Amino acid sequence: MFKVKDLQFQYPKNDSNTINGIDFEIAKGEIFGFLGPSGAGKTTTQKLMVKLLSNYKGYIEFDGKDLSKFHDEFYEDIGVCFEMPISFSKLTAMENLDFFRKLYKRQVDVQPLLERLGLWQDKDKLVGEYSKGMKIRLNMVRALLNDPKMLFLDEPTNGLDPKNSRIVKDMIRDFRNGGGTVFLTSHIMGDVDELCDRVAFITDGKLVEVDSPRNLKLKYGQRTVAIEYRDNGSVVKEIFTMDQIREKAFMELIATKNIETIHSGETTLEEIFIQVTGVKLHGED
Amino acid sequence: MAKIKHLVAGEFQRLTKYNLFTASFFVALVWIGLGIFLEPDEFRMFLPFVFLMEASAMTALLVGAQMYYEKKEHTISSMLISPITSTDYIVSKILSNIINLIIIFGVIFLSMYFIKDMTFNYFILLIAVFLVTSFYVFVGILLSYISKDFTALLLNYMVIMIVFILPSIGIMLGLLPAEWKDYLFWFPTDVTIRLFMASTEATVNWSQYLMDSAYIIVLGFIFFRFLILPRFKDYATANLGV
Repeated sequence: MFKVKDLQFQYPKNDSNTINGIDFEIAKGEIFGFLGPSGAGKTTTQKLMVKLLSNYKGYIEFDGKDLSKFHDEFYEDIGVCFEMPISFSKLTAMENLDFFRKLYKRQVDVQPLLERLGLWQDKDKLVGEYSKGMKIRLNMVRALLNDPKMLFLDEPTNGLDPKNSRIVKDMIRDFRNGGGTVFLTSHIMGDVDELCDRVAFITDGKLVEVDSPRNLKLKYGQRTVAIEYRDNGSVVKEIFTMDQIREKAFMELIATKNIETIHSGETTLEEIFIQVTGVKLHGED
Repeated sequence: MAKIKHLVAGEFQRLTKYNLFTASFFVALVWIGLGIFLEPDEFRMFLPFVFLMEASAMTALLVGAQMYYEKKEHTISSMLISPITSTDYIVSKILSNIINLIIIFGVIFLSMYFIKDMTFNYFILLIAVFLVTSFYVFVGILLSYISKDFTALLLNYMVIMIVFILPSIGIMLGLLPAEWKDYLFWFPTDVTIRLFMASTEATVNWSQYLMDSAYIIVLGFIFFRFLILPRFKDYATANLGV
């Protein structure tokens, strides 16, 4: 669906490149996570991919065609869900959606989308009276107005309560299951882990890892099993390698001891993020 | 064309909802009130001021305010990831402000016709509305480019008023020496006044009128091509997550 080859970009006022020759491909029907600390080049890459920035070096291909050859028709096929609210505050939700919907050739019926996101009852309310979570949910409807082939989602669950976050994640999965492709950025690693088929980590304008969450966890995790059991009133912890779990010592421990916890040494995407980018997720350095 | 029509309709919907049309209409009522109390000849003397304030100052301020809201609410970015071009967006701003000014002038001059029996060359007036409004829409867009927030927008607007509009008003009211008029001859403000005042004259100086029209068109084109369009996407997408 998208091919990016040796992409380089420099802002006119900067001395050096913000994007330093990155390569990746996004397959049709894939949810592709794009992760990185602030200032790493994540937003710039997205702006280049949605044609909000031009004058890049390298090659970007969308749906088999050079992106630079596309004009307005490109936007008929993509939907963008911004992180911040993007609605006219003195218009109702329905007036907002009507305005944007009529800019497209393909237009969806917004009622099922509004109903699923719990906004149908408030469709005639001014957006200025919406809560932050409602505005973010409305962004999701805005992104889907034209029945796009590809979605660009920037922190789609940020500011949502667990129930609505679940609804949005289900919608993203349904979109993918219907053949859609998704480019997702998020700092909520649980969501990335849950949704993405593959993730890419960008830092200092370079891609440092591109793989599936599972493969990354295998690569960066430890092939161990940690067991905690109670012995003479105190908790004892023992760590076995994956090769050792077939051995007698491990089997005996399982059979004879009062086991309290068993954990594999699999790492989390959050730990991988910190490891590959060198930046902490909360209060990024 | 359908998209432009839809964008213009959207502009009008927002002019109304954000009370910008109401503000513009209220100013028109002030002119009508003035027209009621003044004799036709006195009101005629006042007309350059009416034209200048409505077509230039109000247009630039309205566009600046519209774009301030669109930038603040990120809706301008949302439009840019729709199948419309930057030019479509700017053209819709021009057309909506032209229509707005036609409505405002329609109300003012129809009132003057019924109250004071005053008539104008409406063809000349209409052309002046098209040319001058287009130019001052560009001024309004530039104003929003250089203003970080609404306070800065108003301050920059005041600077433009003082530098470009007040000298012409000062000469009109006799507060500045009349010979200064020669220096201001090609100021956009004086060109604006001449284009509009041609609609009040029995015999139009066509050579001057055409020169003024060509001047404002060329100046507008330079603004659009070299100042507005190249910076538009940067302006619209600055501080945007995506």
